[in-house]
Amino acid sequence: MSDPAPLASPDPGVNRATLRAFRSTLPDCATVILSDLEAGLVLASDASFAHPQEQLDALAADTARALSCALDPGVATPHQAVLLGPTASHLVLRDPAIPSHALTCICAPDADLRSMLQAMAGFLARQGRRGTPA
Amino acid sequence: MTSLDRVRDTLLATARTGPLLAARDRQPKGPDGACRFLATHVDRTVLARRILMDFTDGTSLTIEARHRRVLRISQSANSSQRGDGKNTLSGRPLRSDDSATLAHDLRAHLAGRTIRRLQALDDPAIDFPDTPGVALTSLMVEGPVADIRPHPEELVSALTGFVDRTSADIVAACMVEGADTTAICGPADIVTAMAVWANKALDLGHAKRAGSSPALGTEYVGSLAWSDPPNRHLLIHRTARSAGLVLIEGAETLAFLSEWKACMQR
Repeated sequence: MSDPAPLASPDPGVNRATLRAFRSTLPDCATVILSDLEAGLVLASDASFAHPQEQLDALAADTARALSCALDPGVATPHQAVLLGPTASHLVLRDPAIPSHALTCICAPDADLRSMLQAMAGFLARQGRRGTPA
Repeated sequence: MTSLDRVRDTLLATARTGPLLAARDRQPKGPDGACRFLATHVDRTVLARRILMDFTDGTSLTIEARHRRVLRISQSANSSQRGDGKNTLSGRPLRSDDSATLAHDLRAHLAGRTIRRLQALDDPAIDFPDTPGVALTSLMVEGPVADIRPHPEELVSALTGFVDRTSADIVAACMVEGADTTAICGPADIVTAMAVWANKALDLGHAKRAGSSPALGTEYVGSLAWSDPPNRHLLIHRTARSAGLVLIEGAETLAFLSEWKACMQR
């Protein structure tokens, strides 16, 4: 009997400690989640308060749905989503190194979105380089 | 009688006695405190329960809940009731598409009332309706997020105004409300793809899904950005029941998002 196909494995370079260190550099960020868009899984998260797991799962599903938008046949899906609610902003960035992964930051509604997106892109770029074999 | 039966009877008796709520629970903070209190209570109800909520003005609400969703709500006879069949507090089984109306009706009913007593009953004689019910998560959000405004014609007017005024290159624009799509401009296949995605991804017609971040609420604006083709953006305005969508091409997504937000949330 052949072995079952392996489940989607989290990026070995990103865990809760990594996300916590990243979030500590962003005073307006309450929650940061790394999710697998294809599997709909939360791979790692860190937040200023404890989210129920079902809420994290729902956020990962929302992220996957948002980035699933394919308007033209054969054209790529979006790499970024910005959603501005009354009391929070959700910023989502697809991982350029692993396109099935996305980083989500939930931050204050008056946060500096440009700085946040730059910080998220920088974080993903650093993680991508770290994961590349020498 | 087994020991399990005795425990169950004791718990039921306690529930029927209905301990008076502590003062801090009876008068939750803020105008939406009672709404959030009820939503939290329902969110903790997994097994089928009938929740009796008595108010200090002598009126009451009977709420039947299961799986963290409200199945049916009825008012006491001395409450002021709307006579039409659309009233979600009339004791009819509730469906998912009642979410926004229910939130509106509950807010109106609970405004200014003080809760006197809350009882949770688990009586085998209760015939709970066979309906998926409605999650009350949207009630836990500050502010009137379940307001069904703007009306579709207002949304179309705002969309048309944005399309006429913006400096971005417009690819397509439309308003989506369930199966109905109002095309403002653009190729039909792109408009159709936008509508299909909006219905799937934005869960139109429902209040925010249970479990999602309540902070984002039911009404929000946003944008998606593509790197291929570069500088393509989809601007989104999601309301309780509909969505306005504009596909644009331009370099500065956050600037267009600010312009979009100012136009759509006026």
